[in-house]
Amino acid sequence: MALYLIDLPFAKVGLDVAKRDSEAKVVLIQDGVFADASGLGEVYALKEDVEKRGVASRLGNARIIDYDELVDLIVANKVVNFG
Amino acid sequence: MANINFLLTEGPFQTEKWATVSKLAAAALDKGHEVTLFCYLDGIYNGLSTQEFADWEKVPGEYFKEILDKGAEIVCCGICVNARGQQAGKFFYEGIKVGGIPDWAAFVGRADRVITL
Amino acid sequence: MEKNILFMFLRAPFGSIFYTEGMRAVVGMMAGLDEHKVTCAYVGDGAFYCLKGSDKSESAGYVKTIADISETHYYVEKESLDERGISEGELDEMYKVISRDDLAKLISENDLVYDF
Repeated sequence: MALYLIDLPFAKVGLDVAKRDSEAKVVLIQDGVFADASGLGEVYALKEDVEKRGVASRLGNARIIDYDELVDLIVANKVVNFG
Repeated sequence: MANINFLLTEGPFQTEKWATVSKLAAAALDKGHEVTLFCYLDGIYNGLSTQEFADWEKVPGEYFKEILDKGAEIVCCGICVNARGQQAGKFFYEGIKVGGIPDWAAFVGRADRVITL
Repeated sequence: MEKNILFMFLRAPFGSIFYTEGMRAVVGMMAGLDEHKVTCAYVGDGAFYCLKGSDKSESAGYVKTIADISETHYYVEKESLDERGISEGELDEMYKVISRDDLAKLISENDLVYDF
């Protein structure tokens, strides 16, 4: 039911908490795009952060979104910060 | 329309949090949402109008000036400002306010969402 | 409007100022006109702050002010303790141990969730 914003320093615990939420949406931001979010259903990654780091092909089933789409997700969901 | 409050605790030229906040805030404002920003700890350095860095076309402060012009309300923690020798924010862009945590608490009272970076 | 807010302390204490400035923020949140209700949870490396021997002098004043305003719970997460080899006997008694499942429940129950 929530949107989890995940950066790398807190990715391990943040993703593990998100796994306890059956309707979790996860957004990998900043160095968070280096995190392994496998095992989670709905995963997004912020385009600018992905492109700078050249990790688009390493993201598995994560959907790449821009700032506009992230705003829409934030507005539509409760946000849990692990950034 | 939603009200989004950002908390920014890190300064410019060190981590990329300033970029994520200013770009996300700009996108939210362009979509017609309300944005408030509370700058805490080193976050207060983002609103300085006196930043100079020849390697970049645009310095972080200019991104914050842009969201201010788009309608964002920005308040910096006054204790943090003075602790860092910024003398009541005299070099901040006009429109950036120096206040306190009660201002942040009031932003939170109005907020539908909070983002911490 | 009054909100229920969860403050998660995720960073290791003392290497940066977040452990104490986060507490200052909690006081400010509760003392404002909206009188937000705050719950604190120590998670990840933040759990190190709950050790009996850690210097809590900088946050003692905040803790006292918070107690004067309203009853506030301080939790520390069991999985974070286990990952760091910390036993419950090593903790200051003001921190109540909860599971990660309980933390997930706290997150769902609170209106807003901050990390510090």
